[in-house]
Amino acid sequence: MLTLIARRLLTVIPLLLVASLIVYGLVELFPGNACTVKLQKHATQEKLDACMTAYDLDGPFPARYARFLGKAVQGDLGKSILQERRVSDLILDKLPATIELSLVALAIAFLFGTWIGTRSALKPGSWIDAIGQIVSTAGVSIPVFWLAMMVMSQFAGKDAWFRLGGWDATTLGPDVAYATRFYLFESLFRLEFDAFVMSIRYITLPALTLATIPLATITRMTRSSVLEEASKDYVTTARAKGLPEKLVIRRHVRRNAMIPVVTITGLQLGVLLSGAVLTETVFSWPGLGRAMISAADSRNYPVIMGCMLLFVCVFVLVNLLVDLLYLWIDPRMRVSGA
Amino acid sequence: MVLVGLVVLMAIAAPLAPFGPAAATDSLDDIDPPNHPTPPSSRLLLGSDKQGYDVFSRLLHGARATLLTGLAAIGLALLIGVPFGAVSGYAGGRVDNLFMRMVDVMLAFPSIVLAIAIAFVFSARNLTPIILAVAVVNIPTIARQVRASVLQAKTHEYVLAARAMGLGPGRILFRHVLPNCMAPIIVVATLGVGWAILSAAGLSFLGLGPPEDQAEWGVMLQAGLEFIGSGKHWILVPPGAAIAVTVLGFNLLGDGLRKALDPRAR
Repeated sequence: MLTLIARRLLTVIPLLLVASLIVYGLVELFPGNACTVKLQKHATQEKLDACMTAYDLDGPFPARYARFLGKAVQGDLGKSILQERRVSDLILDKLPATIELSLVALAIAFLFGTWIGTRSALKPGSWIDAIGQIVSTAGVSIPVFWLAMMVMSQFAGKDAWFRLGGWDATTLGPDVAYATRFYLFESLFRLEFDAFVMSIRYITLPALTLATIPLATITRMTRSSVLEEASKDYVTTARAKGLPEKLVIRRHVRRNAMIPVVTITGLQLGVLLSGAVLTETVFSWPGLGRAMISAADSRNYPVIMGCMLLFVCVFVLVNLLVDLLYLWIDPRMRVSGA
Repeated sequence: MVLVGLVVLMAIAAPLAPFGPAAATDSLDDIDPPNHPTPPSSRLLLGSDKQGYDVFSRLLHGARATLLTGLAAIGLALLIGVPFGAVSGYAGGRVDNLFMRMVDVMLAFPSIVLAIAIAFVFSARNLTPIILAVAVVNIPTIARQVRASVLQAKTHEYVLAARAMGLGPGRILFRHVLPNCMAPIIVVATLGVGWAILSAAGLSFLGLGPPEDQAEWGVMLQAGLEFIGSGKHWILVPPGAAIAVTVLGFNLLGDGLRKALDPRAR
C-alpha cells in the first residue's frame, strides 16, 4: 500500500513540472505588458527597462523559467507588479474564501444529491424521480453565472436576511480579525456565534448557486449506482432472510452504492474550486478566481502565474487524494490499479 | 417504451438548437436610442437595452454567434482530437504512452482556468479567442474517447483481414477502423457542443470575447450586470434562458443519440 502511494505521488511530480512550464509559457504569450500598465504616462525607456529587470520579464525564456521554478519550489512566487505584495501572501489572503465557498457548495450538493438520487432510484416514476431528472439535466444546462445573476436579482434591494456580495472582517462583526481568513470555519471553531451566523448570511446564496453544478452529477451518479446495486443478488438474499426494507436499503444497498458517488464527489471538488471563477465574479466574492481574472486583465504576470499554478496543484492533489481514497475503500483496486 | 421516449426526446431536442439562424434573417438590429431601456411592448417584444437595441433581435442574432462558437469549437477539437486519439490507440506502445501523457498534462488543468489563459493569449475583441480556447480544452476528452473506441475496434477480425490484404496502417486506421468508431464520437461531440456553448458564454461574460455592442448572449448578460435588482427582467432573463435552452437541447440530443447508438444503454 505504501509503495503504491509513493508511486502515485511520484507520477505527480513530472506532471506538475510540465504544467508549470505550460503556465509560464502561456502567460508569457499574453499580449501587453504589466510594466507599461504600472508606469502609465511616466514610462521612459530606462524606467521600463528597470521594471522589466526587477520583475524578471526580460531575457532568455529558459533562464527565466528556471529561476521562476527554482523559487516557486521554495514557495516564493515573486512579487505582484501593481501592488507591492508578495504573491504568496496575496494567495493566502484569497484562497480561504474560495475553499470555504467550494466546500459548503459541495456539502449542500452531496446532501441533496444523494438524498434525491437514492429516493428516485427506489421509486422510479415518482414525483421525486421527476425532480431528480430536472435537477440533473438543468444543472448541466443552466449557465451558473446567469443563475447567480437571477438569484441576486431576487434578493437585491429588499431588506433580505441573505447578504449579497463578498464578506470581510469589517462586515462580519466588530472583532472578527481572523488570521486564517476562514471566517465561516474559524468563527464556528471559536464558538463566536454572531460572526458565524453573519458568515452564513453571506455564504448561503453563492454556495447554493455554485452547488447546482455538482448537484446534477451527484444526483445522476447516485441514482444509477443505487439502481445497479438494488438489483444484485445479495439484496435479494437480505430481503429473503426477512430483513426490513429500510435496513436492506440502509445497510446494504446504500453503503455499496456510495463508493462511486464518493469518488465523483471528490472529483467535483477540483472542478468547483476553479469553477468558482464565474460565481465569484457575479457575487464579488473575495476569492482566488476573481483575483486571477483581475490580475490577467492588468497583465500582472506573477499573480496570474501564482494563481494558475495553485489551481493546477489543488486540482491535481484533489484528484490524487480521491484516487488514494478509492484504493483504501475498495481493496480490489489495489491489485488491478497498481 | 424506451424507444418512444427516445423519439420524443429527439423531437424536443432537434428543433430547439437550430431555431435561431432561420428566424434571425428577417429581423435586423433595430436602434431606438433616446429612451434607453424600455420595457417589452407590442412593438418591441422583449423591450430594449441600455443602448436602445431591441433585445429580441439581439437574442436572435446571438443565436448565430452561439451556434457558430459551439460548432466551430467542437469542429476544431474533433479535427485535432480524432487523429490524435486514433493514432494513439492504433499505434499503441511508445507513441500511445507519449500521447496519453500529453493528454494527462492537459487534464491536470481545471478546464476553465486553461480556457481563460488561452483566451487571453489570443486577446481580440471577437469570437476567435473564445472558439480557440474552448476547442483546445475539449481536445483531451475527445482524444481519450477516440482512443478507447479504436482500441476496442482494432481487435475485430476485419482489421486482421485488411492487414492480410496488405493494406498500410494509415489506410486501415482511417478507412476501416475509424468509420466503425463513429457512434461514440458523435455522441461525445454532441454533448461537447452543449458544454462548449456553456463555457464560451462564460468566457465572453468575463469580457474575453466580442465587444459590448455585438449581439452575443454572454456579452448581453455582462451588460445586464448593472441592472441586477432594478426590476428590468427583460434585459437579464432572455439571454441566460436562451443559453440554457440551447445547451439543454444539445444535451438531450446527445443523450438521445447515446441511447439510439449504444445498444447497452437501451
